[in-house]
Amino acid sequence: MSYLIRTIKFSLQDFYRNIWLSIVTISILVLTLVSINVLVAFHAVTATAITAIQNKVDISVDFKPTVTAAEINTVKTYLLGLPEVADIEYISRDEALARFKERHSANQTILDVVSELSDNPLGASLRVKARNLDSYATILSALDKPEITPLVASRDYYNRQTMISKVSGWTDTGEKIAFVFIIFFILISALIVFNTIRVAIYTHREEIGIEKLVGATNWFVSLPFILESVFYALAACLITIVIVYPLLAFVQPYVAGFFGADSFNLTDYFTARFFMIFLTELVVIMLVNIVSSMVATRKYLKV
Amino acid sequence: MIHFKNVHKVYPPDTKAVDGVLLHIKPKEFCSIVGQSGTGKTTLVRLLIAEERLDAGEIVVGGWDITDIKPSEVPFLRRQIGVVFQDFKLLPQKTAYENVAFALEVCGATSKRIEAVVSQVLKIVGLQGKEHRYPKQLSGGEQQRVAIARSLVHRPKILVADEPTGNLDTITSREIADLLLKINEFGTTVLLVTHDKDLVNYVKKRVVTMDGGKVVGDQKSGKYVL
Repeated sequence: MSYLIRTIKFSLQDFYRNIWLSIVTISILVLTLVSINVLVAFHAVTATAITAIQNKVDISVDFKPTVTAAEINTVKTYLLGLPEVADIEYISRDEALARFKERHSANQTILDVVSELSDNPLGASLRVKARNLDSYATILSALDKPEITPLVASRDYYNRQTMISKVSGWTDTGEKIAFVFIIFFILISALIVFNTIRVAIYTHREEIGIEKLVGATNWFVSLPFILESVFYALAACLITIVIVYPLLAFVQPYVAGFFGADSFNLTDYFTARFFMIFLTELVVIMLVNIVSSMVATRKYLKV
Repeated sequence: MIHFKNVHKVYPPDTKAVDGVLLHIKPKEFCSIVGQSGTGKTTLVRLLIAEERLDAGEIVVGGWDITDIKPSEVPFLRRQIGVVFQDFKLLPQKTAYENVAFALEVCGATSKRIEAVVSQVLKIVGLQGKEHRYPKQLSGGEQQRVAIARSLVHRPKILVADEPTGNLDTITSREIADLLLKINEFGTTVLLVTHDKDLVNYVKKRVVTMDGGKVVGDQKSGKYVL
């Protein structure tokens, strides 16, 4: 126990004796961790955006007004038999008319025109939801059957697919760029920690020489420096948490504005995954630091 | 206690620091190794505490063959061999007490043991009342006493003093010599490496003379002769 306490004491001495170097090291680690959190937030926002769009995606199959409910039901049964189809909503002619009127309730002219018509001009329709985005093409080709084509007035799908492709493209590019930055920052962090430990060893060369002379084990000589790098990781992680939450609060109104009715709260997202996000980050940065400091001690302590 | 068996050490490119040294130092013996600068005395000390690796030969310390000692075993060897140097190697920001305690702290001793041992060794070297002084508040002789006290904390079987009086005047050197003799009387094998003729003649113990990396003289109770 006293061994451990002394090791921790020696590590903290290193930490304070080179306080400016420690501050620089921690700053770089914080920069790395903040950039990782920016990527996490970016990923959360885009993933939520894609899910929101995906939920709005369906194939709307509008039938001609002359098509009977029985015929539509046959098509529905056929489509439900496809493994790619997740769900189908049937909208009858009356329901379609009611929705049309509701949609244009503010426009009296349109309502007047509709009421003057002797018959309901709208056909029934099916809203088909696929199990995943890739399945829509299969479902669309399934609708090209000669038995179905004459019944269909129109189909609507392609515009949303383009939108999803665009969002996915932006997300992929954004994540790739962020990933490159993170790797870059992690490499810089490893080098900075390596250099900090090297300088700490240089600063303590007198003590190290005496430690070795009086029979301190190699492990005891090198452990304070490895522990010092662990302290850097802990301090950086705590500072990152202190920085990230106000940042999330700052961008939240913009995120909320982007999602509108499908409200998404970034702060809640991070809070719900607090341990998963920050513990993972702590472990990663700690491992980087430990490896880096071990290389430095092996190289400069000759243990 | 210490066997150097045909030990060779060459520093690149071709400096023969130690050239076929054959030496046996018995337990509880006081042995002075003398010679001019660059004759291989300090290299012999560095080989003994495994700070250097020998190129050929064999070194046995207390029955332990340290010729091919593993790096992980070196600390345990050094706890059996106390070493003091000419430049004392004290930490300036630590008091005499703390400097001595440091040697035990880094080896994992308990606070209770540190307290007991440090007080005891400081008493042996005659530094009672000066425990809380910093090195700069102590004379050269007192600083060397602190270094000797530190070398004794592990109760070593061997004490190696490499030019311990190099920075001291004649009177203080004799005080240090008296202290080394006292430690030897307690049963510790003492190896005094020096080129201080007066000191060797004052001690009147075995004298091994080195020249050109070789042992050129060995007197049971001799004087410094070159």
